[in-house]
Amino acid sequence: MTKISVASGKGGTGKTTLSLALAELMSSGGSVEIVDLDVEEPDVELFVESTKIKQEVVYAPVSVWKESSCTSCGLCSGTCANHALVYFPGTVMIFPEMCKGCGHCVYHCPTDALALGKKRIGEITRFSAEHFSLLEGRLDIGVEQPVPMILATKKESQTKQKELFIFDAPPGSSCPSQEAMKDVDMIILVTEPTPFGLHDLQKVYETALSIEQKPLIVINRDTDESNAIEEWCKEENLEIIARIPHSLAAAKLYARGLSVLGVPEVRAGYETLAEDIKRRISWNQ
Amino acid sequence: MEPIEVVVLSGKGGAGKTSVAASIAALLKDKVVSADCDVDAGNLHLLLHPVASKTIDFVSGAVAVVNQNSCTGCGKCIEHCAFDSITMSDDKKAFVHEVLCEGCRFCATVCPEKCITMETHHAGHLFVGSNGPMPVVWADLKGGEDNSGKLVAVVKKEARKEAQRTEREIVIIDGPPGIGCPVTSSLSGAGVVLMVMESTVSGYHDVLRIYDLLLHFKLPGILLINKSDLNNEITEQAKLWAAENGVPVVAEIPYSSLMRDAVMQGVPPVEMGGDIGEKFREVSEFIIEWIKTNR
Repeated sequence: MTKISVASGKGGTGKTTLSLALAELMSSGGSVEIVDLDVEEPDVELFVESTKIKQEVVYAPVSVWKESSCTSCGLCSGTCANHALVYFPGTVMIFPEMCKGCGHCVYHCPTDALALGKKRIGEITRFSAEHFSLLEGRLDIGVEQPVPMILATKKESQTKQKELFIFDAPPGSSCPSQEAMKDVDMIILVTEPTPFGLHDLQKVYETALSIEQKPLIVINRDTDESNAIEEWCKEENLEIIARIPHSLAAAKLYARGLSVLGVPEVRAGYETLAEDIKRRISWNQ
Repeated sequence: MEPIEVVVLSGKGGAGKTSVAASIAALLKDKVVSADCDVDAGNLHLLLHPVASKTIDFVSGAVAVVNQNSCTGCGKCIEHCAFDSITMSDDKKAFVHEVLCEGCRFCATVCPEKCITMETHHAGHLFVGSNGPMPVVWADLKGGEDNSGKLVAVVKKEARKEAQRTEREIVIIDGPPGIGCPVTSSLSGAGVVLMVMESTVSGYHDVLRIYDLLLHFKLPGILLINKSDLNNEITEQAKLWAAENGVPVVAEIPYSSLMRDAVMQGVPPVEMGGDIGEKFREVSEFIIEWIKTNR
């Protein structure tokens, strides 16, 4: 079983496209699952003709106040590091969207007026498609914390036996992107040859380093202007394992929710990538 | 008068938020303060090239630190941590995995030896500066840090201060992708949200989730359709949706390699002139009119 995380820093560089292309090209060698960990904006499903198999609601712990048991002792006051609990004599207000469910306030309450309940944060959906399966984490609108949803989706993915899991990560370089890159066998960072692409690649590389992982680099929409990225990768001793050529035809296919593998030169780029990855993980040919 | 905040969001990354925000800022440079709230992968400064006059340290939320000399290895902290952020090391000492620690202080409370303290660390920078007379506020969060929502709040606070100091009426905010905490934080106190939709099935899907978020917070939104000819069907669908929901469509900007050229040259795309320049002029005028009518 191999887990590959596809991340990028900058959004729109082609994480989802790469995840889909890899899944399609590698599925002949064994069972493949794409795990959509961009839980704030999960888009993989839009590109796959699939059947929904199972849907499950995900909950996170949250502190709940029971007025009838409260003696207004005030011991809960100031216990919340997230300022999700406010104590007034006679009442305790809890802001569920800020509560991380650590249980600290519950521990301080001597009368069981505070307890850990649960709040809905999103849904996990399993889909089956012709060549691979898809597991999607989807955060509810208005829920601020994507990380528990990412964790739940990763955990659910590991309940099934697959030979290859492809984690489609969220953009950015902070904790959600970090969580999607954790505990995997390989991190692929997708970038584009623009100053934005390079800047954000450097940021997300910092994130990979923070969890002591050395990523592999793919340049998408490659042109003859990729020098800055090449130079930086050389300095950091990072390997560029594939280049996917810039193609307006591919962009138009993507825009319609279709596979970009229909464009020969783009397909060739992804085939090179798939072959390279197969060698690295000793994939069944 | 309080400045009005125009927040540029898209849900999906790469839809063109920064190009749009920078172009509006360039056109309205006498009226606006620009702020980059995409604190973990911000690019606005790469188009506006502001010069920093003030650098502020951003301090993270606290994480637990165990005094290894007094730790007896009792494991109470491990038992109570809801985030599995503490493990026992081989020499029977509690070890905190910083990236998992949420800073809730529960471990410090239950430690019988009182050997756990909460400590903050440097997590990034915030910059206040300007491009000519226009104030610009931006930030740089270190990779892998959390609290991006908190840093967004500080960026907005500094931008409002700059607006008041320079008597500018508009703060234009380049927002982060997604719908999570940094986005929510960038919406706090927003006057209007400029939704930038890339004309692709995913761009449309993601902008609809942004719109749901705006409904949740009862905020008004206006729509800009970018790369509008990539998928004409989706563009038509989005316009129909906008009409049904009373969302004004500010502009449709067709796909153009000039947008990319502008990014390569590090200038706001409006400076490429031609049709694109004209489109951004329309967008800026629309925003000014919208503010006049609605505030």
